[in-house]
Amino acid sequence: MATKIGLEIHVQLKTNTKMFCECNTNFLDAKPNTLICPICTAQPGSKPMGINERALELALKTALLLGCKINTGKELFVERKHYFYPDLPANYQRTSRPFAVEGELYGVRIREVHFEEDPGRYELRTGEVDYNRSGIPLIEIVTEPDMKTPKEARDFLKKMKTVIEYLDAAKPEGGLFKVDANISTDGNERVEVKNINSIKGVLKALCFEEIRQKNLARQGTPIKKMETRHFEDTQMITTFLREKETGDDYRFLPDPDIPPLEISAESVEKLKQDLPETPTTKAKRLKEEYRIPKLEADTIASERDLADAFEKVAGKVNAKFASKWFVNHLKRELNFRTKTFIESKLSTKEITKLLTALEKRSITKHTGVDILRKMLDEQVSAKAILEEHGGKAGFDVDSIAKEVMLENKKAAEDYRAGKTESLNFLVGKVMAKTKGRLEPKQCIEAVKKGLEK
Amino acid sequence: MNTKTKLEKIKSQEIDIEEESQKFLQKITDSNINAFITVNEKQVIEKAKKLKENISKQKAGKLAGLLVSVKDNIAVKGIRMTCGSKMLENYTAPYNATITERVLEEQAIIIGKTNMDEFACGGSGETSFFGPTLNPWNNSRVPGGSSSGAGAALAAGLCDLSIGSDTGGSIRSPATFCGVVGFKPTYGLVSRYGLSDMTMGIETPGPMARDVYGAAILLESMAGNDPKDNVSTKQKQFDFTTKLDNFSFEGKTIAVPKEFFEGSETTVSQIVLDAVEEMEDRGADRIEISVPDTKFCVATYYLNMYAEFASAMQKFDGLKYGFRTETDSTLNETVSANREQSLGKEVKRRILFGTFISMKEFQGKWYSKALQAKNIIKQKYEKIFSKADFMVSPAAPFTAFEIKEKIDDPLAMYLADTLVSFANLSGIPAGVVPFGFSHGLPVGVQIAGGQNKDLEVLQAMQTLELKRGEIKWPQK
Repeated sequence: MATKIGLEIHVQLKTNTKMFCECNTNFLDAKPNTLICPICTAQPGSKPMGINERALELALKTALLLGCKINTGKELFVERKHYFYPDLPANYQRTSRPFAVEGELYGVRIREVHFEEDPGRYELRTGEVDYNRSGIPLIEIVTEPDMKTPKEARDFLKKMKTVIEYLDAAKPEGGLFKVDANISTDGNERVEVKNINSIKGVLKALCFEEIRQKNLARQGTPIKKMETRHFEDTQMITTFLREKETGDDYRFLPDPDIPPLEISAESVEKLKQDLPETPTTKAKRLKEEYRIPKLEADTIASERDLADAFEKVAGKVNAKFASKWFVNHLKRELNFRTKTFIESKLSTKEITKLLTALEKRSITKHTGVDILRKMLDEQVSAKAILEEHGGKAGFDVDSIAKEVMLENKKAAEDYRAGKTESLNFLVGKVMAKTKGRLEPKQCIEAVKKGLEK
Repeated sequence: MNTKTKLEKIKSQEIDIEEESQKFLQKITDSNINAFITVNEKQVIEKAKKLKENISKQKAGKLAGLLVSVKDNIAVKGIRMTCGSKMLENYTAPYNATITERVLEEQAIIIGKTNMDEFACGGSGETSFFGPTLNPWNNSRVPGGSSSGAGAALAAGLCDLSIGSDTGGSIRSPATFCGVVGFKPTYGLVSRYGLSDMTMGIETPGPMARDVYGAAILLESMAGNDPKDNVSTKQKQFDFTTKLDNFSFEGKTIAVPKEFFEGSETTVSQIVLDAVEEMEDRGADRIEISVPDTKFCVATYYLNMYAEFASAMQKFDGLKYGFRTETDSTLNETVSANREQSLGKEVKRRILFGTFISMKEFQGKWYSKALQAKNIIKQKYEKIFSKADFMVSPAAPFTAFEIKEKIDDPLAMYLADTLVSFANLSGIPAGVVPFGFSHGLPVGVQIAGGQNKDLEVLQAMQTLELKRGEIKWPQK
């Protein structure tokens, strides 16, 4: 039996208000326990309000983008999942029955999707609880154990992330994902690793588990009982949490305060009309519309905001040129800095200016990259740098040519005497002094101008 | 003085609200029946003063100047809300229940929070952590429950109106035992937001009063859509008072369910049958019906209640609020100790039953079957009310019993719910109006109607009330 990996992915949905009350969800900027009300702190007598409609819409759209079938025309119950924990104010979590099943994304089957409410944040060391997060809408996406290596799991999550970004469905401050990863390796019972907050973390946790489990099997002490482990973010290891009892009993109970939901086939059809492009459909369209190579289209479409920026820029400069530059320079520089386009804070206006200058050849490719780096690292505007460079990237080529001629009087005289090869020598010197930041044509002109005097 | 007259006299300033409030507060202080857990002394006088100054200037609210008591499982902002439990002995509600908001908007003065069985677990008023409430008609008897303080306070004249709650007869039991009017509205008519949970799928707050008009105007103030309660009616406002007198039994059909009389004391049955005769005299047709499922009502009710109650009680861990014991043990041990030391025997019994029947092992066996049974019962009653306008019966098989008589026999106590839980399971309105006395103890008549026939039930109740005439209230 080979390694099998299945994921449970929690995504905080991007809504203004919480799942069952009207509290604001902007918990990042808020002091602890300021975004709370009797409902999300489970005061005696408080009741959930209706299901947040925006949350439901985002949940359904996400499921549709994951290729799921929506359970329409059936009563969909919101259940109470009971367990005692300080971050859970009612000591039960409201969680829906699966509203979507049988999806598939890049070869990984999606078993089901349901929504639930986020618990608060419990600080073990101080014993303090912050309920600002309590009640924020979540979806949980459960895959089949279709991934065979930790790398496959990582690649799948990257793609999943792109899809969710395309929908703009997730709260980025929630870290986008919280993942519980299930892994079983040869000869071992299944292990669930909880508390993984990043895609990189998933890779690390799974790699660690795979090696740990294989070693255990080799030593003749394989894992015999399903267990739950905790991912230690700082050390990149997993630690034993508890044995997973098959009798884990949450006493699921349909919440009597929330009448069952019924999703109509018509409403699903309507949502389908309203779905954004997926990375796949977008790449296809970019390729056709802008006549760019498939590989470039795929790369650009791998980030929704990058693709949006590309389309804006491609309206102003040559699309093929822009595409090449996005892939060969922009994306590369972003990757180098492990930044997304949105994180880079680059504006399409600035990029357009830079690309226009490049297109007109008023700066060289090399200078273009320099300027891009400055824009990324020093938050300087392209316009300012271009002006400063006076279109020549900061070099007074004429005085440099003059300098070169003073230093190489003999070569200059040779040229004047009719030895044309000397020109190449002089131009080479100028190019060396300007560190290749200038077009050869510019250098030749400057040298010729200097020689005429 | 009846409620209608009192309201008029308050508006015309014949009654000085401030003096009246002081008089009531004094009566509470002097009373020995333990009807209140918290008396809102300071605010009552402040509010009365303010209202007194303004009552001539502005349009008076529906409940202007009436002293309303609130059962202690309903949130009143800034006032202690104990649910009759040690767990919440020092808990102050940080918000108002929707119905609290509404009665305050109608200028009611909230006089205090009434005693009750702990977390509404009981039908006699004896399980309160704050001690039993006594029946004003005979202090050795129970007042019924769980809205025990609400019923007793009215009979003893300690408030004008009471807000109670009815999960399985908790308004109607004290109404019949204390000789006051109690009304359990159609499920969803009155918002449950702010009512501490017991059996969420069937319970509702409701009005109690000395007369039907009082109950009707309190209901009218509370009823209507609330976005904070998912099962709440769509309709925004209701009128239960202007047409209250506009009623005749002529052409109405009264169903008399024989099983409801079989286990009842003869004197109790007789008073109810007198009421039926009175209705017939006024032109109603009487049909005898058999409701063989009555015996399943209590079982169905208790299974629904156990499962939902155990779930609802999860939140009381003593960590966020509520009773907290001094301990430095683990989290789970702390929560267990908090619950162990602050919850009463009957509450624990119900939590344990509820936890047991909702276990994975029994999924599909108890609770889901109880939900199915609830639906079947609901359908049966829909059928009854397609043929009859009202169903008339006793609300309890006996009059108020001795304190401690049944407290150690939960089954006997549970059986007292036989004649009331049908209305909760089927979501229909049912009210109790006192119609006679047996050995000095009041006996109420229970009238139930079809879904949303709340006004009609109140009208029928008032007709009986007019026939009965004035009650000579206990003087103590």
